[in-house]
Amino acid sequence: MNVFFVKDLCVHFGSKAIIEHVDFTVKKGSVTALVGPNGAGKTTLVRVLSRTLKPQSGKILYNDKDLFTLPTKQIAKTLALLPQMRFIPDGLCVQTLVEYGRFPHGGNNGTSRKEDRNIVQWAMAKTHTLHFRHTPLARLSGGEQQRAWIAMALAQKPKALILDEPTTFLDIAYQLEILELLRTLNKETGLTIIMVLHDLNHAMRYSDSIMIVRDKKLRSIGPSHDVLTRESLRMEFSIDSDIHWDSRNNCPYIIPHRQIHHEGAL
Amino acid sequence: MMVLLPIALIVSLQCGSCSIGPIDVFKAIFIDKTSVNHQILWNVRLPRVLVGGVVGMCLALSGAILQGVLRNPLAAPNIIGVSSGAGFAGFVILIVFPDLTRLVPAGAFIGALASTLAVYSLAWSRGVQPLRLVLAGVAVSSLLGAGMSTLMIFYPERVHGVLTFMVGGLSARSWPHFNMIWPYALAAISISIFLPTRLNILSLGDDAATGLGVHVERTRLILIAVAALLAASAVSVVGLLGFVGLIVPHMCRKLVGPDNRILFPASLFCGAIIVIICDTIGRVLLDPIEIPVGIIMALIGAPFFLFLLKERKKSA
Repeated sequence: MNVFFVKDLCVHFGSKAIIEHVDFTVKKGSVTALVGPNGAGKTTLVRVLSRTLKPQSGKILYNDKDLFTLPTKQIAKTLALLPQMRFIPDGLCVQTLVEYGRFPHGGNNGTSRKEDRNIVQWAMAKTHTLHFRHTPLARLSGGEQQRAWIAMALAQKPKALILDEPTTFLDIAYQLEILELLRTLNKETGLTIIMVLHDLNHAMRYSDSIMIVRDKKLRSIGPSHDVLTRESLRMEFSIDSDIHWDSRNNCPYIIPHRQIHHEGAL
Repeated sequence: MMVLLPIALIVSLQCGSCSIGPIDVFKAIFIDKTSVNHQILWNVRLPRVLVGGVVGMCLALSGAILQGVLRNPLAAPNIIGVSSGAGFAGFVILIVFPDLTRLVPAGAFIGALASTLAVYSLAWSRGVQPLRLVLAGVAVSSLLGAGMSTLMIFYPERVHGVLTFMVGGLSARSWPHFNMIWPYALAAISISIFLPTRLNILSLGDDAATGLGVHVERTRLILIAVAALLAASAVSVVGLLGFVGLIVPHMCRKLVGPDNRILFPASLFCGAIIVIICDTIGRVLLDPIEIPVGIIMALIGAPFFLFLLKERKKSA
């Protein structure tokens, strides 16, 4: 069963192509990590899946239905986003933000029904944001803000979650905590997760499937040990590296050595 | 604030060239319908105060909506072309066709909506980005502003007539004016009851709002249309009263916070109170000369706003 089915997707801004002829599927209950160098089109790709950017051509099915003809509020009941571009209104406190997560479920302000209130509490507890729930978002650190936004997305009680760089701004303990939390939610509730990650080791450890996006194209997709090899790291990321086995976490581990300058490239 | 509004209303009814006590005010309006006081109150003061209150509500709510939807604290009804459209239409009628002066409100109303529509469609490019809208608004406004200046230069002898329209005033506003704006005001305010949560979510950014199931473009269009309708109906009756739409939402934000569910009603009440009080002061201060409410509002409102700004800094 596929959550997303993407066929011959093309996106361009004006005359500049950003994504060209991309096909892939995302399985229900899987964790997919999007990796690739800066400017490769990762954010554009997740924005299209998030329906916040309309592609010029191609087909996107979400649970076998056309993503761009479904009512957006209905999608929001099962699909939550953590976008990169967002604004923090002056004085908005954490709990209010998390309550907005109940909007697609009809609880107009997120506090009207007991069920809504319980879910908001649960989302804040899961992300350890309860103790600063009355603090304005603007006064929190980057990591605390990130957890508050994730709490908002969780309050939607989604079946699928798209995150654009969820670990950016977080210190290493919270990076692990967020990724562990996402993995736990995935295992316990079958939440499908698609996320853009920069750290390849995180991608290998916390995902079932890795997509490498570079130069407007989907270069490869599959389990980490198939997709991230010494050869592909050299080709797609321009690094010379060794890959070891992390026996404690049961996943491969990359140790990069140096940057390679391709002849004629860049 | 809900208490303040009736107080402002009654005080305003009492004051004027001939002052009437609070009890007499009630008597004259509801019981003794033959007295002179009844004539003054019913035909002059009451409609004027009501027009002032409704205009204040419209402009303040319009400003609150626009500041949210454009994510710009400097947004006000004039930024989406409402004032310049109304102004230009008003000028054309007052200066070029002075015989048709009674058509000024209707003309200003149409002008306001037409120029808003122009600004909105000029800003459109795969959806309307707030910044593009602001820039298109500024461009259209300066174009229409140039048109107004040209008219004033070509017809210098008729400039006096447009001055009061430019400043914005409530002088000689009566029942016909009130009857003209209340249906629009009521319609727009009723629609706006359903909008504050959506506006709250929209202010998180377009992508986040989409993620929460808000139809971004449609919601933005509705919000702008409501704001334009509110401002157009106000401006058509009182002229280019600029200050309320910018400052009142800010004042309310300082008092009740940024949540639009509280900010909308607060702006409604606050806008009405401020226009009524300022108009009362304008009538009484240099009696028998009347100072247009727009001037009083800028004179009192600006320093008060600066005071709020300063207070806020201290407490933060």
